[in-house]
Amino acid sequence: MAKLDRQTVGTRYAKALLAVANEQNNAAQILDELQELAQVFAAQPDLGQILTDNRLSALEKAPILTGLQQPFSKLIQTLLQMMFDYKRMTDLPDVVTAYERFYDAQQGIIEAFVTSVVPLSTDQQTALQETLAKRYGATAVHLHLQQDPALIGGVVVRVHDEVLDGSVARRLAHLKQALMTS
Amino acid sequence: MSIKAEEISALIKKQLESYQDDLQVDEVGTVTYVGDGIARATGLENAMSNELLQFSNGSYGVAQNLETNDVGIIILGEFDNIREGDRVKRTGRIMQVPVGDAMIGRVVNPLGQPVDGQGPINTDKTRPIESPAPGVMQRQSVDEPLQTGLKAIDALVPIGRGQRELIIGDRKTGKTSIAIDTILNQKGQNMICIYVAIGQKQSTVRAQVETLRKYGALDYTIIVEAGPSEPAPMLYIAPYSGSAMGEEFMYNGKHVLIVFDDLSKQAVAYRELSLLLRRPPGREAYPGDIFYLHSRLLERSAKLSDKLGGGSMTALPIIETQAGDISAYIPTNVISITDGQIFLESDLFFSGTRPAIDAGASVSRVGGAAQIKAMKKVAGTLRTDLASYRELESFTQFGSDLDAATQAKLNRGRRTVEVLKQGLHKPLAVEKQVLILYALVHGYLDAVPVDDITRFETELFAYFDGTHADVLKQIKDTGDLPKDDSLEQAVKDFAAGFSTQKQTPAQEAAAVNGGKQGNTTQSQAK
Repeated sequence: MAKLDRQTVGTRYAKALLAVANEQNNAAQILDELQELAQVFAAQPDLGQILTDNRLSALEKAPILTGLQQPFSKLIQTLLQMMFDYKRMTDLPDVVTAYERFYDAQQGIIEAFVTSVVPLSTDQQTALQETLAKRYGATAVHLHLQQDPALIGGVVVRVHDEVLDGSVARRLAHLKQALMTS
Repeated sequence: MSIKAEEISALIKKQLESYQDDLQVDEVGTVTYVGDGIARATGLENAMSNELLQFSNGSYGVAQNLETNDVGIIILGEFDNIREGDRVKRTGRIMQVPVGDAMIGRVVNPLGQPVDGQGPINTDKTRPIESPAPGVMQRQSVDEPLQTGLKAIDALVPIGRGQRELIIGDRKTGKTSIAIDTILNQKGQNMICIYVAIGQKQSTVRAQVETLRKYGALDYTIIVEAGPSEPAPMLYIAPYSGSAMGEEFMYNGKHVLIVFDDLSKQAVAYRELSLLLRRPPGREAYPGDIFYLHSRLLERSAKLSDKLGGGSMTALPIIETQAGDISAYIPTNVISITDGQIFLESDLFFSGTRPAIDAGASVSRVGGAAQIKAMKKVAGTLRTDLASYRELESFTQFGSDLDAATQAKLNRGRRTVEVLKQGLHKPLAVEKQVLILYALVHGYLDAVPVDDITRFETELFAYFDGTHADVLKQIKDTGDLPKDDSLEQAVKDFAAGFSTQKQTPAQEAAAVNGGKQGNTTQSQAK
């Protein structure tokens, strides 16, 4: 059978994990733990590779895995053990990303990536959150703020695959186009 | 040039007043792979097949593969500065090219942008490059001739307006020359020509453009050019762009001739991008839809019904074979799609028979209906005569004694081959073709030595242009041979006055037989 691509693997594990977490009523706690785990993987990019490497014996790998499992709850420990047995440790970051996505969708949370020229004030942020929540029918909006002077003014918001561009730079480009083509 | 500053300000003011400012909402994806003219992007969940997408560097792409997790995109243009992680956004449009009269006389790339350095093309009309072919009820049968100006083609494999006639042969057998000569002959024939150069050497294309310019053919020709240094997607879309430009004229009741030079290179380009898009390879590593690639393209050439204006688009696709192998994948595909083929042979080409058309293997499935009456009368039996000559010729290699009838057949055959030879870029008007073929089939050439045929032809044309222009005009206008004996009489007069240079046919035959016998004795001696 063809090798599954990373996204497919991540999606499948995350879906199953969320289902189990929902049954145990601790989906939010699992999310926190997964994010912590993702940080470990981000700090040690080789970790997944090492844990699936055939050149290392199971005995050599076992202590690393145990160390990794230690601080987490029973469910995450089981997940790690299973993914280790199935040699899927390299796909763990994808599982985390997919889990975040499913959890957000379930809770009605959206992640908004906001780019502006100057940092937004708290009032502006709240207003933006409310507007976005209304537009996407979400219960909560997580803002990820960024600054980019190239925009000149206004904000650019990205939610999922959609970009809402209200920047001055874009308007100027439009105006230029309109004047050039006439 | 005097535009007042106030005028410009007023114009800008008007523009600004009507300028609307609203939030722009784009759907974007993220590039995860880029290379070799191909990109893959995640996101873009609502992208449609064949939708035009724009990369953050300004390049455009076309969505080709819509898969579970990502979209396979072919990039039209620069891809050196696209990076992994770049954004690519939907445009909601499908790929279109500019069309219209302003394109005529220009050299453009497959996107319709000028590459001849003669400024921008001002046209406000566009057409999608992929469009469905005319349906059954929108067509009518091909009945108007398209004069190629080449005796061998107009007499043996006539082409009608709206027909698809394949030109096939090895490299260096004169495929492009036939196409270019055909374009040259369309001068004053109310025909718009489109020459699509796919993967041709840029120097060659430059030479073709100069040829067309020199003979004044650029006034009615569009050249679409996708060079070998451009990425495969450009080569792949080039013939579709050319067809879109042609369709604009066809649907407006005009006649179009489109040359695809050549489709084997387009197939190779499509194979390349299909493999890069990870579509499963089939025979000769071509993807499964390689037949559809060419069939949907060539189906767009048609003769429209009178209700739709009666326009037509004639296609001359060119295919290059390897070592004369017409049973390779692409040649067999295109042969089965087209309405006939002109088969060029390198042996003939090198023995000096140019255009090197193999009369036996070349056919035209519609052409007969698209010949003028006069041509039908003189060229009716030419094909079979030529075929029987070739048969006899190989038979007489054994050098036996020949009866008079066979001898006469051989004589006629040799002269037929000679008459059908034609120089490069020297297209001949149909009435003159009829004239020389008339002289041939009525035996006026039988007494002329083979070496003198070319001179006979030139002098015959000069004689008619000078003293019997009315006969030529009559053939041209009525499309039929004159009812009276004016033509016969004139040819007879000329033939009587023609002085041969050296030997009589009897001497020539003796010389040929002598040579043959010499050969046989030599081989016996061995």
